[in-house]
Amino acid sequence: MKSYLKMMLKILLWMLIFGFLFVGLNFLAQPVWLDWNNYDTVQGFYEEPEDTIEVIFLGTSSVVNSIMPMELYEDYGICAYNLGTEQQPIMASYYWLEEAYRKHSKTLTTVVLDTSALRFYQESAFYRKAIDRMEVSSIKYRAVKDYADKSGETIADMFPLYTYHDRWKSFNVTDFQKARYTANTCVRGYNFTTGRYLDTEAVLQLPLYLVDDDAQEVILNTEAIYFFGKMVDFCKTNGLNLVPVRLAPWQFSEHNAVKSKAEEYNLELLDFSFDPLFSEIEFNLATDTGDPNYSNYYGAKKLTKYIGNYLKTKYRLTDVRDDKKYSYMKEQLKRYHALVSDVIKIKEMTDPKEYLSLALSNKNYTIFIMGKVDAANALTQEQRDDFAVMGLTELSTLSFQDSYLAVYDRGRLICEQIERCKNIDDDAIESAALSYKGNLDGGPEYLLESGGALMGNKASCLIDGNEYAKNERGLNIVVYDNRTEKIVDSTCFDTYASDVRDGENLEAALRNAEENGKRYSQLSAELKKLYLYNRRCENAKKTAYLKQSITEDGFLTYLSAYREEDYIIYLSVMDEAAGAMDMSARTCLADYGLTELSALEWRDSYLGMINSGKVVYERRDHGNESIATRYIGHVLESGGCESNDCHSSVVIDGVEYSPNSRGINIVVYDTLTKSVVDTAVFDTCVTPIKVPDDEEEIQ
Amino acid sequence: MTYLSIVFILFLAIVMLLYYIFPKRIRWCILLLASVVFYLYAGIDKFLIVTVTSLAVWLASRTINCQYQKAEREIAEQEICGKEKTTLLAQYKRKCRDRILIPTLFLVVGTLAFCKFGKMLTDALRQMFVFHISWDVIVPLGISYYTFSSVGYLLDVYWRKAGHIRNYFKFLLCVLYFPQIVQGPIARYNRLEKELFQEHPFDFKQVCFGMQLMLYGYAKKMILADRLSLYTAAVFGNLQSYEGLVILIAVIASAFQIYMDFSGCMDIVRGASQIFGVTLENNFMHPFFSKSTAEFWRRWHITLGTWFKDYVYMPVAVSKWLIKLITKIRNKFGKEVAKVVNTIIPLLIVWLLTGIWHGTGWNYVVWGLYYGTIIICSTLLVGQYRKLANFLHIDMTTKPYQRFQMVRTFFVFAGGRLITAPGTLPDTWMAIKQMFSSFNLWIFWDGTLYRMGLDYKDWCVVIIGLLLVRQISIFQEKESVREAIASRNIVLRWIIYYAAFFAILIFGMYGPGYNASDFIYGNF
Repeated sequence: MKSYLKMMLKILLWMLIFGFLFVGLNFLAQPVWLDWNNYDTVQGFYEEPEDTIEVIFLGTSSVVNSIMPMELYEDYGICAYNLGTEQQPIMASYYWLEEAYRKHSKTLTTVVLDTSALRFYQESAFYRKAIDRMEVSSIKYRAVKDYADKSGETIADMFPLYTYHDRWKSFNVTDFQKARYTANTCVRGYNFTTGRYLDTEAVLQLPLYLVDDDAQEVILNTEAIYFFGKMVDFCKTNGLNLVPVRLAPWQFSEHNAVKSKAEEYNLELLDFSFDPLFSEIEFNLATDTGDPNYSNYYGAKKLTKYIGNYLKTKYRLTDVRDDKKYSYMKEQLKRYHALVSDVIKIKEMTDPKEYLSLALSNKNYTIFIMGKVDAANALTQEQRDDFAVMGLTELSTLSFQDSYLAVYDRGRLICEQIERCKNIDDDAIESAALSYKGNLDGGPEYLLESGGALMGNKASCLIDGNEYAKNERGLNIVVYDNRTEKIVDSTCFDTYASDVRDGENLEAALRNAEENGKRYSQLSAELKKLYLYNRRCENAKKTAYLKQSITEDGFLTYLSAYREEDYIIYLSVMDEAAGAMDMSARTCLADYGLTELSALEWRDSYLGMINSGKVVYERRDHGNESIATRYIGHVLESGGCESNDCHSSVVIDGVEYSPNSRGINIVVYDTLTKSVVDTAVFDTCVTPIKVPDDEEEIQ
Repeated sequence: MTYLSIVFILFLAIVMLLYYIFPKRIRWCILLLASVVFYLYAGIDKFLIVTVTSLAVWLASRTINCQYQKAEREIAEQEICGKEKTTLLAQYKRKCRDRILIPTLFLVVGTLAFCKFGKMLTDALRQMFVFHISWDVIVPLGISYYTFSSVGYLLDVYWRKAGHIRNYFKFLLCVLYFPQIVQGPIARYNRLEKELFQEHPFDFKQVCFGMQLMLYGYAKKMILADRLSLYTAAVFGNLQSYEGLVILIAVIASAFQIYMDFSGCMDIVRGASQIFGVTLENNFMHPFFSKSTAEFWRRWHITLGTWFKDYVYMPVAVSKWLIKLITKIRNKFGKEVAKVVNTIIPLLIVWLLTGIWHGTGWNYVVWGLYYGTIIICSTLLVGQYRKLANFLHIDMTTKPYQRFQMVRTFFVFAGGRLITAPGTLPDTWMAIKQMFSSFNLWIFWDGTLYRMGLDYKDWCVVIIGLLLVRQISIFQEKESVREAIASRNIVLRWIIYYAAFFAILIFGMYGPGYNASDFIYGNF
C-alpha cells in the first residue's frame, strides 16, 4: 500500500512538473502580436465583468482600426467592445459572437459585423490569430475543430505549442518581451494609429462615391457565407440585432454581392465606402486613413460617431454612464485619454512651446529634442522665454545653425547640450555633431545626435538600434512612453521657416488657412498636397454624379457643370455632329458663346475650348483637311466626315484622351490639379441637344 | 489511427487503464477489443477481409491438427510403427497439403498478391481494353505482416513445429494485436500466444520502460526521420535540378531517414506492447554497426529475415528438386560449381522475393538482385578476401579496419537506397548520372544546402540527433540504457525524461502546415 501511494505521488509530481513546463512552453511558443492589439483585445475582453457589454464589433482590421468603443461610451454611454482581429474570418467572428454571448448573454443586444471577410478565403494563420487566445471552452473546441488542418488533431490544435513549436528557429527578444507586457485593455479592442495616407509615396486613390448597381457581383466565400448564415440564425434565436457594415473602400462588385447577401436576410448593409454615407460623414481617404484599408484616429472618430448615433437612435441602447455597475469604465476612460486623446492633443499642437509643455506634463514620457540645420531662425522671443521657464535654458538662447539636444525623462531634464555654430574642416563635419547616450527605464539604450548645418547636419534618435527621428530641418522631437514602451510621437517643427506648424489635424489646418484667406501658394507643402487631393475628390464626385444623371441629350447640362474657374473644356468633333442640332439648341449654344458650334454644318470639323467658363477658342471647317490647334501644350485635332482624316484627338502630356467617337468629343481638364477630370461624347448627329428649361442653368 | 496521432496516445492510455483494471484472466479480451477497434478505425471493409482471412487460416490449421490427431489415434489404435507409421503419416500429410494447406496458402498469399498487384492489374486491363473498369483495390492494414505471420503459422502447424491455437478469438488477437499490426514485427503466433495469454500483473517499471521506449521511437521518427524526409523529398522529387553532392547527401540522408523511421516505429510498437507486459521481438540490432551486408540484414528487419530464412531459404535449400539439380551439377561440373549453384539459387529466390515484398516496381526487383548479388559474392569470395588481406598485410581484427567495414556496409546500404528512393529505375539512373556530373563542394557554404527543405538550424538538429542516437546505440550494445537511467538519482532521471519529451514537442516535425509522413514501412 505504501509503495502504491509512493508511486501515485511520484506520478502526480511528475505530471505537475510536466504541466508547469508545458504551460510555460505554450506561453513561449505563442506568437507575439503586440502591435496589432491582439493581446490587448482578448485580455481586455476577459477582464470585463460578466454581463456588461451591450454591443460588440466583429471583423477584420478595418473594424479594429475604425471603431473606438471608449468614444461610444464617452459620447453615447454605450458599453461596447471591439472584438475584431487582423483579417478575421467570418467563422472566427461567429465563434467570438458565441463567446461574447456566453459571457454577456444578459446584456448583449447588438452585433456589428464587418463584412469584409465575406469575400475571400483567409489563410489559416488568421484563423489562429483570431481564435488562439480564446478561453478553452466547448466554443473554442468547435472553432478549432472547424479550422484544424487535419481531422482528429483538434485537441492538439488547441495548444499553441502544437501549432507554433517550430518557432524556436526564429525566437528573438520580442518573444520574451510579452512576459512583462502590460496590456492596454482600456482601448477595448481599438487599435490607435495616426499614420496618414497623404504622407505615403503612393498615388492617392480617389473615392468612387456612387455604386454601379449593374456591376457583376463577385462570388463570395462559401465558408464565410455559411457562417454568416449561422450568425444571422444565432442573432435571431437570441434576439440580437445584427448590423453588417463595410468601413473601407471596396469595389462595386463586392458591394453588390454583400448587399444582396445581407438583403437575403433582411439586413441593411451600412457601407461607408460609397455615398450617401461616405459624404455624410465627410470621410477623407487622404487624412482619415493610413492607407485606404485602415482608418487612422480621425477616420475612426468619424466612423464611430456615425455608428454611435445610428445604434443609439435605432436600437435605443442603454446609457450606462451613470450606472454604478459600470463605474470601472470611468477609470478605463481616464486611461484611454492618457493613451489616445492626450497623445492626439500633443500631436495637434502647432506651437513647439505648447507641444513641449503638454508633453512634459505627462510623467510617463521621455522626450528627446534634437536640432538639425537650423532651429533658431523663426523662434519668437515669447517661445524662447517659455523654453527657459521649462528649464530648457540652452534652447532659449539657441542661435543660427547651432547644434542642440536635450532629454527630458519623466519630468526631469537629464541632459541639455548646445554647440554654437562655427566653421570647421569638411573632414571633421561628420564627427562634429553633438551626441548623448543613455538608457531608458527598463533597459533599452538610446543614442542622440544633433548637428547644425555646418556641424554634422543631422538629427538622430536611435532607441535600441532603431532610428526614430524625422531628421528634418528644425527641432526634431521624439516622445517615448515608458509605460507602454512605445514611441508616442516623432515630429519636427521647422523653426527655421516658421514659428508654428500645421499640426496633426490637417483638415482643420486647411480649413483655418482658407478661412484666413491664404492663397494656394501660401500653403505648406502638406496642405498643398491635401488641397489638390480634395480638389481631385471634388472632381471625382462631380463626375460620378454627372455620369449618373446625364442623358444622351444633356450636352449643355454637361458643359454647365464644368463651367467653373480653373477648368478647361476641350471640344472636338469627329465625323458628324450637326445632324440633330435644332434651332433652339443652336441659339442656346450661341448664347453660351460657342458661336462657331452654333453654326456647325453637316460633316464640319470643329474645335473649341472653354477656359474658366469663357470660350477662348473656336474653329469650324468644311474642307478636306482635318483641323488642329495647340493650347498650353495640349494638342487638339478634329476631322469631320468631309475631311480626309475623320477623327477626334485631344492629347495632354502625350496621352490621348478623346473618346474619338461620332459627335462632339469632350475632355475636361483641371488646371489646378493638372489632370484630366472627365471625358465624354455626345452624338449630336442623331441625338438632339436638350435645351434646359432654366436658362440660368446654362449660364 | 496512426501511431503519431494524439488519438492513438489517448487510445493507448484508455486501453492501458482498462487493461489493468480488469482481472488478469480476461485482460487478453481487452486487448482483442482494442485491436478490433483499432482495426475498425481503418475501415470496416478492411476488417472484414482480415477476419475472413484469419478465419480461413485458423480453420485450416485446426483441420490439419485434427488430421494429425486422427493419424496418431490410428497409429495408436493399430499399434503401427517403423516404416508403416511414416507412410501413414506421410499419407495424412499429403492429404493435408493437397486439400488444406495449398488452397489456404493460395487464398492468403493470393489476397496479398492481389492487394499488392491489383492496382497494376486493373491499370493494365484498363489500357488493354476500351471498356471502363472501375475497381478500387482495398488494401487491409498491415496485410504483408499478418499474411507472412499467418503463412508461417500454417506451415509450422503443417510441419508439426508448433501447435494449433484452439480458440479462434485468441488467434484473432495474435493476428490483429494492435501495436504490431501496422508495421510488424512479423510475429510467430505461437511465440506471441505465450506472451499475450500469460497473466501480466501491473509492473510500474515495465510500464515506464514501455513509455520510455515509445518516447525514443517518437524522437527518432519525428525529430530525425521526418526532418530528413523534407530534404530527401525535395531532392528526389526534382532530381533534374540537382547534381553532385546534393544528391549524394540525399542518398546518405535517405539511408538514415529510413532507419530512423522504421526503427523509430519499432520502438513505439515495442514500447506500446511493453506497457501491457507483452514483449515483442526486436526487429533491429543497430544495423549500422554491421561489418558486412549479410550481417546488416541479420540486424535489419530481423523478423523478415528470419521468416525468409525459415519459410523460403530452408525449404528451397532442402527441396528435392534442388538436391536433384545439385547432384546432377556435381556429377557433371564438379563439387565447386555445385557449391556455387547451391549458394546462388536459394539466395537469389529469397532476395527476389524480398525485393518484391518491398515494392511492386522493377526497381525493387533490381534492388533484390543487388543485395542477392552482393551477399552471394561475399559468401563465395570470402576465402579470396582473406587471401587478399593477408597479401596486403591488412589485419582484419583492428578497430580502424572494422570501422572501414562499417562505413563500407553503410554505403552498400545507401547504394540500395539509391535504387529505390528516387521512385523508378530511370530516376535512379538519372540520380547516378547527376551525382557524378559535378563535385560541388561549395553547397556547404553558399547556402544551397540550406534551401532544400532544411535550413542551417535543421541540419544542426539532424547532426546532433544522429550523434546522440549513435552514442545511445553504442551504449545499448553493452547494456540497457533504460536500466542505466533507472539506476540514477531521480533528479537526473526526470531531467532526461522531460528533456526527451520536450525535445519531441519542440523539435518534432508535426502540426499544421506540416503533413506528418506516414511510416515508410507502414504501406506494406
